[in-house]
Amino acid sequence: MTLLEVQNLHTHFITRDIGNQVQVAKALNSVSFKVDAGEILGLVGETGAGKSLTALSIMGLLRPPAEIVDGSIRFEGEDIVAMQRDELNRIRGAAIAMVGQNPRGALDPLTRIGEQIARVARAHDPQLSNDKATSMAVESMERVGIADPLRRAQAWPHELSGGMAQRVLIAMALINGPRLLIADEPTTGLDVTVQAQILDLLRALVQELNMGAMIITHDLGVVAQYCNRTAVMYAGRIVEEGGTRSVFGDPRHPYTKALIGSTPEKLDFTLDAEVGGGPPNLYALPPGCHYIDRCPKAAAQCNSMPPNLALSATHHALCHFAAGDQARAS
Amino acid sequence: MNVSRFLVRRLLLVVPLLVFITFFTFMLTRLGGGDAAALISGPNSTAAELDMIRAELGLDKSLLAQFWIYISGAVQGDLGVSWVNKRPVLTDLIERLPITLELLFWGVGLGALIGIPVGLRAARDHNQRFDQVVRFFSLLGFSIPTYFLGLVMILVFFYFLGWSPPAMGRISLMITPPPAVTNSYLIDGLIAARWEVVQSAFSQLILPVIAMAIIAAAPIIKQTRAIAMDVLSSEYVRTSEASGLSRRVIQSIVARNSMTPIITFIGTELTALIGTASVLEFIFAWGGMGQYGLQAIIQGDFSAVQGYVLALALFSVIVFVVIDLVVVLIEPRANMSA
Repeated sequence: MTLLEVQNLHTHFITRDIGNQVQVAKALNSVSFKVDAGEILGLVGETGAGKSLTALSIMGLLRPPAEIVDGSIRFEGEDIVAMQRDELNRIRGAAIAMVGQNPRGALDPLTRIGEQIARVARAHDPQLSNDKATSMAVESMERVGIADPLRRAQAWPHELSGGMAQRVLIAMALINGPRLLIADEPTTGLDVTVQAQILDLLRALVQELNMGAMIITHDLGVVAQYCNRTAVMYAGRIVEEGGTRSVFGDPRHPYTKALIGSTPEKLDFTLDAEVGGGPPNLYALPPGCHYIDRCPKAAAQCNSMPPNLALSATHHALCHFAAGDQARAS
Repeated sequence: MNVSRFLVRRLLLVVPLLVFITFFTFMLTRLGGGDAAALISGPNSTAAELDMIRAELGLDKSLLAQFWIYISGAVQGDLGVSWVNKRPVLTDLIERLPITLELLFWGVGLGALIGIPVGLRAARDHNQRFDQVVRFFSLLGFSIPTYFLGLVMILVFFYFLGWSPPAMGRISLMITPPPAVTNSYLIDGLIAARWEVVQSAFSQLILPVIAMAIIAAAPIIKQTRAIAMDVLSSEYVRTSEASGLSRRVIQSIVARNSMTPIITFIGTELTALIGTASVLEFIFAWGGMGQYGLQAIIQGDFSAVQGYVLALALFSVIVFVVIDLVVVLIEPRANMSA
C-alpha cells in the first residue's frame, strides 16, 4: 500500500536582492518518489542536494523564503500541500512523525522529557487526561529501549547523552502510532556503536509496527544495510532510484557510481574518477543534466533534459547514457 | 541546590568589587582637582586658614591614608559628611535613593509589561504589519532624548490638556507627607492608610513613569524580539511543529525559553537606565539621587560624590545577584557552583 506519494515536487527559495530583483534558488526540481507501508526508503546525496528540504516540505515545516511552487505530496491519498496549518497539525506528530538530526537540540530544554512526550500525545487527543498521557509516554520510552523509563521521564534534556536523546525523540515520534516515519540523518553526531543501536531500533520498530519509513542520510553504508529501496539525490533531483541491491550492485547514473566509488570501505580505482568541483549553483542551474559539470561522460546531448530511463520495473536513472553503460562495480 | 550558599558566595565576590570601585572613584575625585578647603573657607581666606581646614578634614595626609580613613569608616556605615549641606552622606542617600529607584522600578516594570508581550508577538509575526509598526515605534523610543520626552509630556498633559498635576515633586504641596518607612510616598501612604496621599502620589507618578516606560520599553521590545526569533528558529521549536503542537503551545514554549535572556537583559537595563531615571526625576523636580549626584559633582563635594557612586555600584551589584538568583531558580541547566 502506498503511504506517501511525492510527485513533481518543486521547492524554491524566492528572495529579493538589494535591487529588488527576484532571486530564485531552485532547491528541489521535480522530485517524485513513493514510500510504501512496511518498507524503508533511503534518501542519499551530498550536503545541499535537497534531502532535508524534501523532508521539511513533506512535514509542512518550510519557512519563508522557501516555498513549494509546484507538485503534490499525497499522504494516504490526501494532498498535504494544500492543507492549512490546523489540518496539517492533525497529521503531523500523529500519522506522520519525524526524527531530526540533532537530538539534543531537538528537545525543549525547559521541559522534563516525560512531559515533552506526553505533550505530543495530548496535542492529538484533547480528551486525554494528564495521567493517561504520562503513562503513554512512559510506555513509549520503554518500547524504544530506555531503561527505567519511569525515573527517566523526570530527567531534563541536558542530562541525556546524544543516543539517549535520540531514543527520546523516537519515543516522541512513536507515541501516536504513526504510519510513516521520516528520519532526517538520525545518527549524525552519535558515535558509531550508538548509531548502529539507533538504526537497529528504527528498523525493528518499522517491521514490528508495519510503518513506512524514509531515512535521509549521506552515509551509503546506512542505506546499504537498512533500506529496502534507495533514492539518490543530486542538486534537487532524484537521479537514480531502485531497490538497494540493484542500485548498489548495478549503479547506472555516473553520480551514483562516483558516490559509491568514494566510500572509504570500497574505494575502487577502476571506477570512473569523479571530476572535481562541487554541486551546481542553485540560482543558475544547467538547462539539462545537473551533473554535467562534474560528469566524466558529459556530451552535447547532456545539455537537454535527460530521460528517466527505466532499467527494470523498479530501477530508474536520470541519464542519457544509463541504458548503454555496462556496470563494472560489484 | 543550596540557595543560601550560592547567595553567600556571590555576595563575598561582591566585596572586593565594591572596594575597587570605591578606590577608583576616590582617586578620581581627588585627582580631578577642586580644592575642598578653598570651597569651604570662601574666597577671602588666608593660607593659614586653608591649612587649618585641610588638617581638620584630613586633606594634609597622603591619598592612601585618606582612603584608609574613608574605607574604614565606610564599612561601619559612615560615609562622611557633605561639605556643602553638612549632613551625613548616608542620611541623604537613604532619603534620596528610594525616590530614584521608585521611578526606575515602576518605569522599567511597566516597560517590561508592555515590551515583553509586544516583542514576542513581533517575533512570531516578523516582517508582517504588526512587526513593522512595532519596529517603527521602538526606533522612535530609542531616538527621543529623555529630557525632551519629559518636557513634551509636561507641556501636553499638564499645560495644554490639564490632565496631570504640575510637575512639582512627588506629592501635592497641599498634602502632608506620610511618616517615612520606605520613602516611597505611594507605599508609605498605603502603609499609613492615607488615601489622599496614595492618590496624589499616584497621579504625580503617572507622567514620569510613562516617560520612563517608553524609554525602557524600546530596547526591551527589540531584545525580546531578537531573543524570541532565535528561539523560534531553534531545532526544538521545529520538533514541536513537526509534532503537531498547537500554535498556542508553541508560543508558550517560545516565551518560556526566551525568559532567561530577557530577564538578564532587564537586569542590565535597570542598572543602565538609572541615569535616565535621574534625568526624569530632575525634570519632574523629585529631588532624588540624580539631583544629589549632579550637584555634588559640580560643587566638588567629595564625600557626596563617593557616596553617590558607591550607592549606584551597590545597587547594580544587588540587581545582578538577584538576576543570577532568579535565573538559577527558573533554569534547570544553571549551575549553582558558579
